[in-house]
Amino acid sequence: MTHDLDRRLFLKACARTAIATAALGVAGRPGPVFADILDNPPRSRLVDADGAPIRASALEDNQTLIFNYPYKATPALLIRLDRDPAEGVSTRDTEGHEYVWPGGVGPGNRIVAYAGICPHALSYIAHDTAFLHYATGPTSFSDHDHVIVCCAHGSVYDPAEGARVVAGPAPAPLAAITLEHDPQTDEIYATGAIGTELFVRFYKAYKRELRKEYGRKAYKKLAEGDVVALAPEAYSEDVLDC
Amino acid sequence: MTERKTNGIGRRGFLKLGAAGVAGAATIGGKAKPAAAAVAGGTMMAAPLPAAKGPRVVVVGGGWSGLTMAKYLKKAKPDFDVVLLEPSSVFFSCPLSNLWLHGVVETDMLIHSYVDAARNNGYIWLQAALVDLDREKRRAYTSLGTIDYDYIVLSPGIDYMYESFGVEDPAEQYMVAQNWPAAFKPASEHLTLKGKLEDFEEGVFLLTVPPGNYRCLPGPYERACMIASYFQKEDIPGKVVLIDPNEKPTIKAEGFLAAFEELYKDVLEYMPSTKIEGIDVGKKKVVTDFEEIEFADAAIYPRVRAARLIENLGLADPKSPQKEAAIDPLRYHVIGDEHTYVAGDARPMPFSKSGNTANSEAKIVARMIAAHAEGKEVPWQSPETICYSAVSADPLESIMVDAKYKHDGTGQGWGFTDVVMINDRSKDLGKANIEWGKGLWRDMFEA
Ligand SMILES: Cc1cc2nc3c(=O)[nH]c(=O)nc-3n(C[C@H](O)[C@H](O)[C@H](O)COP(=O)(O)OP(=O)(O)OC[C@H]3O[C@@H](n4cnc5c(N)ncnc54)[C@H](O)[C@@H]3O)c2cc1C
Ligand code: FES
Repeated sequence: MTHDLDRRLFLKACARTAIATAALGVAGRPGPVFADILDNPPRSRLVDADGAPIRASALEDNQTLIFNYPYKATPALLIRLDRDPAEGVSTRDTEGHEYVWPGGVGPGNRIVAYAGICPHALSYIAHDTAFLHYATGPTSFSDHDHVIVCCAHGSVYDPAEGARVVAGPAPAPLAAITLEHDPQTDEIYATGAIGTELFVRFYKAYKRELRKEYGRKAYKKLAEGDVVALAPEAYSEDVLDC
Repeated sequence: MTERKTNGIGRRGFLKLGAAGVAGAATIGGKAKPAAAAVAGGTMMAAPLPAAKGPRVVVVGGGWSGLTMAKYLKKAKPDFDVVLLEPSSVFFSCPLSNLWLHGVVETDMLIHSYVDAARNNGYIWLQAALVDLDREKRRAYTSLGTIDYDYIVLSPGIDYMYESFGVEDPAEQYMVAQNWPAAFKPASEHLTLKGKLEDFEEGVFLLTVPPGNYRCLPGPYERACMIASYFQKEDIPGKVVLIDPNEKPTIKAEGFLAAFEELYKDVLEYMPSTKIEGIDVGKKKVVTDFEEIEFADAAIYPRVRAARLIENLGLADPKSPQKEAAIDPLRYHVIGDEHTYVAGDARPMPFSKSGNTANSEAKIVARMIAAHAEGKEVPWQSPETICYSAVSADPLESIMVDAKYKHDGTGQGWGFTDVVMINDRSKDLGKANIEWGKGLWRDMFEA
């Protein structure tokens, strides 16, 4: 893979998580393998279409924003939950590698973010069509509400629990995007991603399309500087409702 | 563990392929010797394969079941040395082919490379057909030579039973199959059907729904909609006649009936509760229990059965009207033989014979086999049938169903569970319909 997509063990980066998950290892058995994270994740401030910073306290309950992170061509989905997220959710990525979901930030830790790419078969929030969306009511695929749904094959995720799979064929949660909230400025930063094997698969599957859309050189670059976060309807021409 | 030997039919199937073998064929006490002995003193050579790097698993059939199986066997147990046998040179998708008939999607969307699938997922594709099995020796006889294996999974799909229309004579069966192919097996039949639509001048275009548990329950109804819509688009003075032995569409009835009524009233005639009792090949007529219907052209879909391979290997359940495999319905292996598995549309369980079922099931079976190889067992899980059907082409609008299965504990009595049915056609479901296919092709062909 390219240098940009280099990975290293989650262990190295997040001592808190490492300790928490290491405790799960049973004596005498090989210890857990930790989910991959980005080597040098960009620290990207979220801004609106005019370049003004998104303020955490200005986000409304259930408001959703789409921005490209950690790569210029990979969509992420931010949700201001209307409830307190679970804490210390330990889970596994598509490779079966463990991690502890870092949770949310901002007021009540209710701002969470995930990759907008479905780990089942990689349908994603594209500019022409968003195959994933956040639904506050029940959906075609399940009675659960306040969930992220992928309309392609009906995988349903709970964003308040690390995007745990509550229905459908997905083998793992949506990859987590780590956030930071600056209490002084009330700004939000995207600071990393967990379970980055997903991005390797994503680039493999969509190389031709992404090259066309973002250009041969740019399509696999990391996000840099400020990233624009838009309402789903502004980001995608068509947000599927399913 | 009792294992059955290859039976006589298996040997016959094998002999058809190589005249060299005929001379050496011998039967003992009415039963064929295993194929090895039948072939000119056992001179069939090993298939051209690299030496196995771990327990070898042969997957037979590169359809929705086999492709998923090969990939997920590797994922479940990376030291498995997986060989996929598929004689076709290219994969052609049945799902979404009805949309393609109309021109909603292009041919290049439906075809995929077996080389890519194997390269991306770390297994070997051998462009060969399985012709016989010696399950005692765990040796597979293929059109390219023998393969010794630890496990073998059979996912050969379906064949047609023209007898179901009262067409018994093989010569007549061949005429029907050649003149009016069902187009429910990929890919030549589909290409022929598309050509027929393009050439169609006027009159009745006949479609049929088979009895029994046939491949792709909504397929004939979806196809009727797409062809009717094509006639409208091209201004063809034709009519689609859809003959169905069932009282109403076997699935998503409300959604299909609404589309028939609201969108295709003038170009589609739906004839439920109508059985076909014969086909007059010369006069291009079908005889039903009510009347005779003349047609200008047709795609005649007879009852399906498990692919002949299953019967040829002596694995068909004699009680199964569709000659489906006799396997443990919860563990997928041949009764008494935990090294031979059957999955996909050839299975006997009354699941919907769909690509999504085959795909989700193959992941479960792959985990079962990996666990077995490690002396473990994983719990039974239900496959899932998510199935979109396009009912309108312009704009593309679909309906859908999502269901799982439950059993009575023995694996005999089955029912649906967790069913979601959306009969209100919509553009969002139309888009999701295409993405459904793209996603599963990605799943089977990409890493
Ligand atoms: C028109 C149409 C529309 C459909 N639409 C949908 C849909 O929208 N959604 C859905 O979920 N499903 C749909 N289906 C159903 C779906 O295509 C099948 O259920 C699915 O293909 C079953 O998978 P399988 O692997 O069991 O069989 P197949 O996909 O048929 O694969 C069997 C393979 O085995 C190979 N084979 C056979 N004999 C041998 C041998 N001796 N050695 C080696 N290889 C062998 C064959 O060449 C073939 O490639 C549709 C089907 C049709 C025809
Ligand atoms: S790609 Fe999302 S459910 Fe399949």
